[in-house]
Amino acid sequence: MKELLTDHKISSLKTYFTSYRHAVWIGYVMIAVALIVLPFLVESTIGRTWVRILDFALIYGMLALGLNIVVGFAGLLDLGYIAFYAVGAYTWALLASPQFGLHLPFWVIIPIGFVVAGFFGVLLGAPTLRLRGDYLAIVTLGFGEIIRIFLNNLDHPVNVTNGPVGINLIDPISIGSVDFTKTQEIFGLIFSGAHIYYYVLLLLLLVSILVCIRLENSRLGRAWVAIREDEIAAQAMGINTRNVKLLAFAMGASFGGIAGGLFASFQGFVSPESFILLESIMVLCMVVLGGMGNVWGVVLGTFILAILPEVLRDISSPLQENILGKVWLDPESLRMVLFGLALIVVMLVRPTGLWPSKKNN
Amino acid sequence: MTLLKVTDFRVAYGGIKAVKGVNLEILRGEIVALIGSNGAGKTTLLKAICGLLRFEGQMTFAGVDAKRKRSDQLVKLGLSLVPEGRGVFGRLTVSENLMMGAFLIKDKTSIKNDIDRIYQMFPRLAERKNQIAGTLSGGEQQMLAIGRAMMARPKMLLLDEPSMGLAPMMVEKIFHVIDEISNSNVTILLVEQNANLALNFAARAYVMDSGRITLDGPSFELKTDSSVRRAYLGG
Repeated sequence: MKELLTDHKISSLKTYFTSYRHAVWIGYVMIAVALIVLPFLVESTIGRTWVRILDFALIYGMLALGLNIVVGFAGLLDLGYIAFYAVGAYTWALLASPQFGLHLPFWVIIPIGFVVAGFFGVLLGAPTLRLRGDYLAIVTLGFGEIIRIFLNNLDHPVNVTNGPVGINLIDPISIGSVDFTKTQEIFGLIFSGAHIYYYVLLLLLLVSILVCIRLENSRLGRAWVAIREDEIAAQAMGINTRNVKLLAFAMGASFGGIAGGLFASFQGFVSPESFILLESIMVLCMVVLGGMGNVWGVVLGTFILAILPEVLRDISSPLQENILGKVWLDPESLRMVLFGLALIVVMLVRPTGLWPSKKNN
Repeated sequence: MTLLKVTDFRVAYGGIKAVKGVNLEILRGEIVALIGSNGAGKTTLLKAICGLLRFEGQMTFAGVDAKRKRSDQLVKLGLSLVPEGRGVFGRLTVSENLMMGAFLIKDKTSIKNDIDRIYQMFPRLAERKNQIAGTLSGGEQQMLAIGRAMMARPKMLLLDEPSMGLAPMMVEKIFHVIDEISNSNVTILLVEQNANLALNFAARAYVMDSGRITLDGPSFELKTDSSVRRAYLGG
């Protein structure tokens, strides 16, 4: 009788665990379906512009994940991160546009962008190895500006970047004759360019998330944590702090480079204007607001900060009309005020971010 | 047999010379103390030996020319530092800190055995293995710093002021463990401001003053030396 009971217990435990695993799988499938259906819903309810906004949120997601490697994992404050986004974008623009008459396919440009941006990451990392905190922040800020000014002025003596005018007619991602920025009809369903890019970007963001989670729990991830906590002690543990820091810069930059390339191909146009300091700060805000060091927190922070300003843009006029009877404040400036206010409130209520990493408490 | 030998060892911060031509020779299995007042250059000397600062002069460790070796290469050779002020990773747990100490060791089962050994050495750490290291007391943090350095399986342990800021009871406990470590065939170089403590513990000592070694010899001789008594032992 006793044995029977234990047998029974074990089998009920087994069914409990298998049903639990099933529930997790059902959850994954539901999330996947929701993510696939989302652009259809958005497009049919609030319009195609919002699919584009989603696309940008996904691009920013990749950027923020890259910056999170540098700032969140390794604790190196980088205020010029957008430079790598610029490097990636211009790499794509120069290799696939009428500028030089080059039209390389995307599967060649993506790895090139990855390597070139990573190289620029090392270029920034190498001279700043001994710097930390605010000193590092100042140098990285300068680096970001240098890259932007270079792009702005490299139209003479030899025209490379077209200067402030920027580069136009950049090739989109295409497979065979299928252009990803053009509307396609598949099985009777209409997919706009923004809609197709949504899937491409979603896939890449998911890969980025996976890579970041693996990195965080790797030997390299632990070395980054050690450097962030105490650099001298990290060295005393036998961590080659030079290589590990350079790797943080290079990997962070590579994420930015890929995001930049996709941005260029999606927009079809790049100019130095897209890579100003405010953009670096915006990406940093996404990381900090979401929760530095926590991959899911960073993704959450990105979506909130990428979408919130657009929501505020849409509601700030009707809101004033309803409450005050008339539009008193320019919606464009009001939305930035509200945006700033939202940031301050979040940081007061949750100083370590909305979804902080366990280790940052 | 000589384990660590430094000759004409000089370290400068920019133009300021902190260590001005030091010679040390430490044999395998010894406990050696390095005493001296604040600003004598003890910590600088230790950091440079560990590859954390650049130096001029010669250094050999375990029969290998150790000049221009990086800190991680020296750790691999068996030279481990317990840094001044402990330097525990404050936001990681006790066991994560110990894991970090084994950064260069690949074999997972031997890491696990080493952790168990450290917990036997410091039962207090075992009780707190899932606690965040920053919330430990000063003495516990010192235990953790020593345990973490031992995780790298050093031939030689460099301890920078392990007694700093600790209650006498805790100091006694820590030194008891350092003694145990020494018995397990690990050579010890102990930097201390507390000369009395250091001279009672170590068999041999160097006295450092303004970047130079001014005296060295067996501890019992230094304890009776009039200049040492005046300068470091209070009469």
